[in-house]
Amino acid sequence: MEQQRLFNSLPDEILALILVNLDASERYQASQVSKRWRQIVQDDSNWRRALVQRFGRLPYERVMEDSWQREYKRRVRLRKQWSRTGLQRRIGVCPKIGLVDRVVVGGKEWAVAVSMAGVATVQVNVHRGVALRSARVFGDGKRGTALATRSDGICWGLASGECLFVHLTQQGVARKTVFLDDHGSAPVLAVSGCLDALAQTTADWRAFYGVPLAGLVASADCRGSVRVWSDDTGELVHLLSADHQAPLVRVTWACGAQYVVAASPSEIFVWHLEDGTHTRSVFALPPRCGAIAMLAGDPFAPEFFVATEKAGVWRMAATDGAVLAEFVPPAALSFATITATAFAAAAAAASSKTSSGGLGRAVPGLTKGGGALKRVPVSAASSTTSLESAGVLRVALSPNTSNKHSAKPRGTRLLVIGDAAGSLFLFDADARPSVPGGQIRPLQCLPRLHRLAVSAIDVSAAILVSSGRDGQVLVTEPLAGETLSTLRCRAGGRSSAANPWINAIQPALVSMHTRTAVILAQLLAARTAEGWARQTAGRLEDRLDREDHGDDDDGDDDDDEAQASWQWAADNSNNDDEEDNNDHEALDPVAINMQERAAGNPNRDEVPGFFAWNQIDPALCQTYPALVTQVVAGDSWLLAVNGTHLQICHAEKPPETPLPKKGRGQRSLARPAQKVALELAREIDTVRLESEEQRTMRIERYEQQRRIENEFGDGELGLNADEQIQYAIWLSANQAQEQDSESSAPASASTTASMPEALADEYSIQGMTEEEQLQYALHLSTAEHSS
Amino acid sequence: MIKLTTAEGAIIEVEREVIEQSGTIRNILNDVRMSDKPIPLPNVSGPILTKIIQYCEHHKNDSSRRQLKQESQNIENDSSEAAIQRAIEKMDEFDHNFCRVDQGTLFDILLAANFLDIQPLLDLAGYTVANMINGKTVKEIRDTFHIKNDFSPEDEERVIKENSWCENE
Repeated sequence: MEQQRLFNSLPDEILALILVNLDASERYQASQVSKRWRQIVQDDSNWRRALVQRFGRLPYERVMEDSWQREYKRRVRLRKQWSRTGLQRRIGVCPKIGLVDRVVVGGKEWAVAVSMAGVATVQVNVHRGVALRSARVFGDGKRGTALATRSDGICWGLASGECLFVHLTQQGVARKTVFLDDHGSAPVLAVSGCLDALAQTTADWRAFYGVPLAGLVASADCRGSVRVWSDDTGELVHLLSADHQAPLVRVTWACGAQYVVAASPSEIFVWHLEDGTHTRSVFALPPRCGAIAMLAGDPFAPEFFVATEKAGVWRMAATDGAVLAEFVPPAALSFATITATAFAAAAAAASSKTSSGGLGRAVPGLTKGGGALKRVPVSAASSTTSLESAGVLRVALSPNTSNKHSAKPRGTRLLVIGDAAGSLFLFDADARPSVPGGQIRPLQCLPRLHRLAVSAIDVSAAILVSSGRDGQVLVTEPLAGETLSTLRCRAGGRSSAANPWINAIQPALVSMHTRTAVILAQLLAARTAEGWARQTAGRLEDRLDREDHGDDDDGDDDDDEAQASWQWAADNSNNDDEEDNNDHEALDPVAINMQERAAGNPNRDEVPGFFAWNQIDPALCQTYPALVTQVVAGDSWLLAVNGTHLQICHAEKPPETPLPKKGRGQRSLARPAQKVALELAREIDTVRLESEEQRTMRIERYEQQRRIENEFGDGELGLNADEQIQYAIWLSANQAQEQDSESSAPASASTTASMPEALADEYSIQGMTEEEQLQYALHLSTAEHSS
Repeated sequence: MIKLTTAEGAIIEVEREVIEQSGTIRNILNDVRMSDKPIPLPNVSGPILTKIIQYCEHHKNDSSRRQLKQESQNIENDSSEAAIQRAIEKMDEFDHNFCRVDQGTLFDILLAANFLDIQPLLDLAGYTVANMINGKTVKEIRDTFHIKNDFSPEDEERVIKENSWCENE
């Protein structure tokens, strides 16, 4: 009796304190004891305490916004699901567009795989692992050198100095393509869609700025200029230039569309855009800082984050370039070369993100045009904008201060840094140091998580996904820092040694994070110059077909690669203590070569020369057996991009949804990419800033190319795109000649069809240029006919 | 030395440094000028106070825990709860033996620790009671703590139903 009195005399707060120590199931048991106990167990604030008790801290970002009880349940459940590796549903998808560079994820069940070099996209159903639609936006003649994605569109920058933006519908289908071809012939090295990070938080964006979303894209080229253009009309809005033709390798937006930040290997340029004018400031990076690993603008504030490979990570003010904070690891650790970064810019913004099944990322309902962009005449004051023909679109985006608080992200925005030693560091991106420019210590350190350098990171509310250069993907609980499961991604090819081209390009993709994009562009150029497409196309198709079957239900048969990568790891093990010197050294000959050329030839006309084939040591093509270049984390799923394949992993069973209608079950790529591209090309909506004459010429050229493609199909005559164009030029020249010489067209067409290849064999030794060869061939064929 | 008056009226002397682990006493000492007058603790009996002082004596030097807590408090308001977690992990043998008492004493300690605002002790005692609950069926819990089942049968069924999610896990 005495004890009963005692226990009942305990105040609720003490009873709550006791019950918080229990596991969820025990807590539920306790709730069955009596009404009073039940009330205490059900109290939401006690669930919050229980969550902290369980995971060590409050979540950075809520999984369930409405109640802590549901948050607790969901997290515990996800944690359990992820650590139960056997039950994960794993799908391998090969979209068959060659190398997959990026993936756009949106909506419930689709992802769009994007190939940068091929300028091609494939929509993939992630539950079934089926590729639904593919589109090659251009023929093989165009080479992409820069790529930016957001969930409503994809933007390419091309080596030929053009940019294009493909709008995606909410179902992930390409809706409209917009061109900007105003970079002259300067290869575009970086592109960034405005509000990239905010694409998922349109509502917040509106609340913050009080205006609908404006679709702007910034593209930076290798001659030091940035073009800001509308992704809706293709109209050039701003022409921003850095003084001395520095190659701009990164570009980003800050504070909505107010600041454009671009970086060359040694400097950072910030342009403040307002009312059709812009002001520029330049900040120098510290010497020997290595390449820029990350340049990310804060969408809500005039601030940006810079990470350099060797020198560290800072938050800087866009207004005066002041260093606001420096992110440093704890005293006992230090950064090795930074190889991967992730900035969760829009954390905790999508309240509707229930993620009850499938890819639960909120789809933005973007509204464009109309209110956002107003045309104003170019004022005399804005002399820096050297646009005379086109009016300047005024971008009326200023923070709507009254709503500022409601629009700020509710969770902790994370900045995740991965280094060459395989360690991960989680920082609170918004942490303010006690003194300006002070140091910020990480929230969580995961030292030596990977055996090799970290190659990609992504973080969602419930999981942190990271991959190492050995193709190992780890799923980590971000609050407690506990590793839940390990997945090994198979290499892009079954035997990677047989496909050096895959591995030649993969280091280039790494360079998107670690090296200047110039090298990347160079390597991409190398790929085309080598003509691998022509040589390996047939073989490749076969192989991909085979793998497509093999990968649908991924088994445990990846022993061979596992072995291969282990072996490689063993080779590296002696120096992976400090950092992976091997792979840094590996690319250096190319880099040095490039730098020497750059130093020796400051003349701008030489710049495109970077993109000619240099030399790539075949040995370094073997370096990366199974590199994962991008990971995307959902709460209950993850996606890893690995060579030509996507690996999708579901922690829980996604809902069964019917596939859209199509001809033949799983083999759904019934329409070849070329066909789709042609259909797409018909719908292409182009807005150009060039003169009418140039425009007609361009269209003619494009038409001609298309006609050739129609005529000869998929390179069935063995012509690659360059040859096709040359052939077309030759053909038109020939036609002009025909009108004079009255010779018969069909005959000449049939004889010349296979000419370039024959020529290459026959006459290359005579030291003729290609043009001369063609001329000679022309001469020869007409001579034959007349005789 | 600080004088404390127990519920029975006895006076116990204790070092200031030791008893300052109690938030309540620390506040009193900060508010009131230092005097020889004993501080009355009408809710705390003599044996319990002795026990609590014993605990404070043992833990007077591990201020690192408090520092840790304060440090983390600067960063984030809620991490005092994270500090609890750490405190529990650090539960040493002394703490273990300290809690080997009968239920009545344990509850008294809980109440006293709550009144005196000694957070680590509160956590420790709370954790100990939670351990007593852990692994018991509902009926066993009721028996252990002499709690009357005040649910109607329908209510009980409903509660069991709504808790079924954790069974499926």
